Amino acid sequence: MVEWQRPTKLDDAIAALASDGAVALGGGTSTALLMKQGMLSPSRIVTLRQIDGLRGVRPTPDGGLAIGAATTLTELADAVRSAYPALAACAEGIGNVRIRNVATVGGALAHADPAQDLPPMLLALDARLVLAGPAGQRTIPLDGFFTGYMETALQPGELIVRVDLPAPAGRSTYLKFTPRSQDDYATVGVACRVDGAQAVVALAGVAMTPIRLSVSADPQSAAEAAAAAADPLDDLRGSADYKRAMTAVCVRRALSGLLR
Amino acid sequence: MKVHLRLNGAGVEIDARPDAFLLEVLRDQGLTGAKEGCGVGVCGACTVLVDGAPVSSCLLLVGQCDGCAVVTAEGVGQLAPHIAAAFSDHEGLQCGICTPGQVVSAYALLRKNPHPGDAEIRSYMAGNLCRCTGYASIRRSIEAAANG
Repeated sequence: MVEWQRPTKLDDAIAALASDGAVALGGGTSTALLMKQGMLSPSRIVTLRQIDGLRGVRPTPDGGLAIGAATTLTELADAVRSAYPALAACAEGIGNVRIRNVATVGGALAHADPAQDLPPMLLALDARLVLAGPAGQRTIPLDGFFTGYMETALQPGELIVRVDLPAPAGRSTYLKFTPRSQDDYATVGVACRVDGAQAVVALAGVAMTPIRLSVSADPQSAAEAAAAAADPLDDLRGSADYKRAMTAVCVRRALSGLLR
Repeated sequence: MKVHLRLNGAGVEIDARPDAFLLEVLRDQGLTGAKEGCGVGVCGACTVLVDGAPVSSCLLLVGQCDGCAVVTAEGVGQLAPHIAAAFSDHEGLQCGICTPGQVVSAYALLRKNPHPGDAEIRSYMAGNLCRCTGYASIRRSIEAAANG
């Protein structure tokens, strides 16, 4: 039977997570699904929402933002609406209001489902992650965090403390292509940030991990580069060829929209 | 495990399995307004308020709710009976399976914005699925509740 721990200090959470079968719980929307499907049977659940300093969004001295890992998607959208409108719109396109009221930023990243919207958006914004674990605290770029299908660079017992964003630069957007139904996961998700002649394109749904590319801001060449980088699977959201073709279409549309 | 809830305004202590979801705990308490539809947080039939925010009770482990205020469709019926009345008056339901969730979400929306426009109603209510009405009558019901 699963045992619950609700630490209020980060150090206590790290100690609680050191046990085999312990799972860190943000909002639990993904964890609950895995438990219901019998894919995850934690022996201990360590809840994070009540930990001092893990919730909320605050400005940093360099003009960026520090986003606590246990911040919900609703809280995120409200906090970034003026400074990072594309991030707010991306967050508000996830799931439905009930999911956004519960799901957390850190949970969305740790879950590392490549079809999720938030990872590519944060990749396009050059996010960095602050992680804490038994060996101490470290900061890493989000690019490189996703190591495989639902696999990350998190070490055993380590958790995400916060997401750091640099000051807003250029213009950004997120385009979610959902041909089946509006509330579906993206068949192809495209985050773009244009800064001068350069662009960053990050993709959801078209590989085992989110993909981040630095490209020229020319929509046609960026679209070709993105399609070449995509490595999609045939599944219920479409064939690999279809997803690759739609990757090019979505990147071209997203970038053209930003440059208009 | 013992879980303390403020359930529709009354403090209760519930003995629950540690892997139980809020939905089954509520239904075991006789609060059967919330229903299991999809079981994966998509349909909205199990919508309840936790600390004032609408959530899918089918995806929330009861251990996450310890110390929280939970308001179910039954509670909304007490707090704001005019919303269910508006659904009835404006044919915002047919089979009724989704209706408790619709009413709880509508209550949360009207608390956030007492006079939401059509676009806000559509986006806020998008996660509450209805296979009968075609949604137009649900939107009319919410507008009527806002104006009544």
